Amino acid sequence: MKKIFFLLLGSSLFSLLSFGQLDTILALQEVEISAEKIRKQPVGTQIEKWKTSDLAALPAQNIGELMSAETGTFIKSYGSGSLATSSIRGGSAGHTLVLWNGFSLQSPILGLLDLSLLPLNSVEEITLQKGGNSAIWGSGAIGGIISMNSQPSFGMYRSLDVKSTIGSFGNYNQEVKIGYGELRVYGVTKMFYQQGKNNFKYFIAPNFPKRQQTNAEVSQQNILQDIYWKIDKKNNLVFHFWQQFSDRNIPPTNVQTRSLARQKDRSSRLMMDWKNVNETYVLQGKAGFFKEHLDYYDDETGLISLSDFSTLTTEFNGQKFWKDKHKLHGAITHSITTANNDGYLESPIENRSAIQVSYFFQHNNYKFQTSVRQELIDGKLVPIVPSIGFDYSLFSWLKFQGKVSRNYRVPTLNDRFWNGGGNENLKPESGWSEEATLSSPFKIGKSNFEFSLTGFNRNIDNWILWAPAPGQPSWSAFNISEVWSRGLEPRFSFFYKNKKEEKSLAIKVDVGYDFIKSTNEVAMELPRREVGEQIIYVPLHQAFGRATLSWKNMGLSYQHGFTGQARGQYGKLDAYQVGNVRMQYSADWKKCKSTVFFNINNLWNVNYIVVERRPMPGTHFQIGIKFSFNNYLNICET
Amino acid sequence: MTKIFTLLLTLSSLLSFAQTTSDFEIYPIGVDSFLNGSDGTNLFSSGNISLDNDYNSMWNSWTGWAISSGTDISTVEFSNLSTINGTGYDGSNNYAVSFSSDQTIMHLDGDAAGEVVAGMYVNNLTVAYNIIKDGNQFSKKFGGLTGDDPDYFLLTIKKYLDGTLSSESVEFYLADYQFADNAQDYIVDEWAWVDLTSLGQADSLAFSLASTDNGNYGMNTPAFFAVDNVVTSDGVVSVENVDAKSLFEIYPNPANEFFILKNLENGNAEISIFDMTGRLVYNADANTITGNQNEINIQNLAKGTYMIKVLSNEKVASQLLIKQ
Repeated sequence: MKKIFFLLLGSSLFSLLSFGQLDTILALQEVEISAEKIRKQPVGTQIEKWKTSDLAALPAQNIGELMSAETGTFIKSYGSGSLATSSIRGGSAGHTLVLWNGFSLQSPILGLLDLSLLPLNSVEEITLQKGGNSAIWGSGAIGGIISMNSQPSFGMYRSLDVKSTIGSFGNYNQEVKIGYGELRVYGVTKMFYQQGKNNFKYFIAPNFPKRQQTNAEVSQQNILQDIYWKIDKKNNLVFHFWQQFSDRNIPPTNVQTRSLARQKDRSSRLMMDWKNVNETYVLQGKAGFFKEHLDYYDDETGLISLSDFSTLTTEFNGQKFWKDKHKLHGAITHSITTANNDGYLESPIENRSAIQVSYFFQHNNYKFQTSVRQELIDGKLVPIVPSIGFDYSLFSWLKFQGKVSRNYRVPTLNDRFWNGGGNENLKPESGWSEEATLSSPFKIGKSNFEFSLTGFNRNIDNWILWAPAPGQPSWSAFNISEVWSRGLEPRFSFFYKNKKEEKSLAIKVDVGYDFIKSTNEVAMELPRREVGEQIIYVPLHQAFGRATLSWKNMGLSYQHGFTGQARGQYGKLDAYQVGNVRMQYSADWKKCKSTVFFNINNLWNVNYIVVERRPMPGTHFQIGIKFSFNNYLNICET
Repeated sequence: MTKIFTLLLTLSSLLSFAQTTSDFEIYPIGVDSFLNGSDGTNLFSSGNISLDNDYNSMWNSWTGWAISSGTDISTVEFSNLSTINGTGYDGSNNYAVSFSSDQTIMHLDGDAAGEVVAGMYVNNLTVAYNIIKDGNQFSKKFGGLTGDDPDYFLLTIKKYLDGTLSSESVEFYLADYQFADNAQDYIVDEWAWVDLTSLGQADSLAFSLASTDNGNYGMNTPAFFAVDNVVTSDGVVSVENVDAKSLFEIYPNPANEFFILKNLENGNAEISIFDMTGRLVYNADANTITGNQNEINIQNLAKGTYMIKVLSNEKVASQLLIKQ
């Protein structure tokens, strides 16, 4: 389930429909007093947020599936268990910034992140914020930001959650979450194991036997450790550690006889966060060390491609506030990345430094925020990026928001250093974005309604493409293209709850439609581009709808997504509609909770593809059970 | 005597269609090796043709032509420059490989310049053959999902003459899946002769590849093909075969250590001596045989019967010589 947050509305309008995960309902959610808070307040734009309890009630396993099913975001999925990247508001995969506790998870080598490698249970909160946000978060925040945030549950003395899921095509998931602590120290260990064969059968043509997918096995292991320590009234110290092992075979395309390719991803991420909270100011120091390997092997051709990077990021930021009306925030960030890649002549070292300042003002029925950021990459200044946004509430039933920002994405290490086309003189992709939202929330009896309409416009210049270079045998990276994206995003929400009690009848409906025109503005022969032509893998029309019904211990939800026709590398991609169902039953046992659930994915057994030549599975199932044993301040006694 | 008559006939026919075969065997690269320009060579020559190579030392990549003696008929990698049957034409060692997303050029040199090219043998490389057959992560298996897609991999050969690219062309399907009956679909997997006489006279030939598997980034099928035994005309198609008595005299015959060649035509002459197996044992070009009478030393030749061929003033004639 999802909670739509409109900043002005606050969270009161849509009280969270929860299937009642004890851990999060009863635990004292920490009120975030952070120097980062101002950065996370999306003035002038909207944010969608999912908490642990929401995530637990979704059929999705990873962030790619969550975004695809819940937000109408176009997720370019190469198939079950395979690579998934996002396109938000007509941007490329590198135009979605993914943050883990405020630090970018993007691979500096590829400039993107595989969303299928981000399990939902790795954090306690996930947010999606569409629109440009480089003035606050820097490179890559052009189409939108997916933010993964860990949050403590102080006072949750002991807790254990165990969830097992089995599904079609040999899929098996096991999750274990152990929480321990007291009022000043809280630790949580999260483990996640997933394996699958993904040997589904797919449609070829009428009167042809179905073909079974091969070489599609995946396995993934994650272990995460969060430790929160309230040192004293003013000082907090937090550690996060995340180790991931992912092994998967790369299945053949539907026009490939076989594949013997496989990919290994290994990542280790360590982060430390210190906060000093005072009455009128907050200081914060953060450091993160990320090391990742991506190794690709093709046993048929003997091809081996090995790459790895290490990034050390340090950040110091502070916030000053005056009676909550004015807030001033500043941050200085530095990161150093080293990378190794078979394709590089030498191992490059990239230094990035940035300074960022935000000012926030709130008064009665309006909010205002302006930010500016200047980044320096290996001694070169990227364009200075400002942003200005406001929220204005005309009436209780009519809100207006708007934002103008300049945004950028720096070239990837491959774009800069690949031996055979890499171009060290590339400039960042950059451009201006504008957006405005009109929303109207109102209530009739026990029913809450909200209509909203967002319109946006964005021009990105110096768009990086690899193209043939005159007199060169290889293709090379150039700042060659311009892309103009604009669109409309109408949304409708309905929420009804019979009584205030948790188990009362509740109905929630969300419907959305995205019209996104994202066009090339520079004609090219190779890669072929025409002026005014929609860029590849951005459908002009997308729509989603979902309805959730909960009553007593039961829950039933249905999601339906429509993805319009799009252009691919080789030709047109047909439109498709996919529906998913989830049924859930919860039972209390000795004041602790067990939940069984059953998911039907691709309910209508639609034959579709998202990425050319990559078949998707027909109807498939998951069945699972979750036990939560909690010892929360002695309320739950087993 | 029958033998000699046969030889005469053979020589006579060779001379009247004087041709040179470029077989790339002059490159001593051994077995299962290649020259891709990394040694600094940017032009490969064999017989009367030459082939450009563009090698980028920084990126270790090349386009244009390479000389290969590859024998690897299984590795599906762009670095494997072997033909699908692992040899040159007729089991020979060397052959030429073309690789370009655009077009490659074969220059006609010397006597072949401006003349008709008879033809050449072409073949698929292991990498292209297998990717057409099985596909990979980027390229499709020909026939597609159902096997019914009318796919093809087409080599088109045009000519340049006096700086102008011809509109006429010769097309050769390196793979053709356009048949209604899929059982007839094929990928070329052995050396196949391509007749180029219909192109007429040419200064150079231009080769380009097309496939039905294309994307925004161009052709997905690997842009390779191999060439061997390019047969060029030597510019002597106008040479008149004449009776020996009208062109030259030799004496003494039989000869012992030398004989005198008396050129009855004005001007220079080229003389070639062949043994009875047709092997060239002596050659003196028109710059050496300049006077009216020349002494040709045959001390080194074994005793036996030889064929003397003389070319002078676009006339050619042959006569037998006996060495004692």
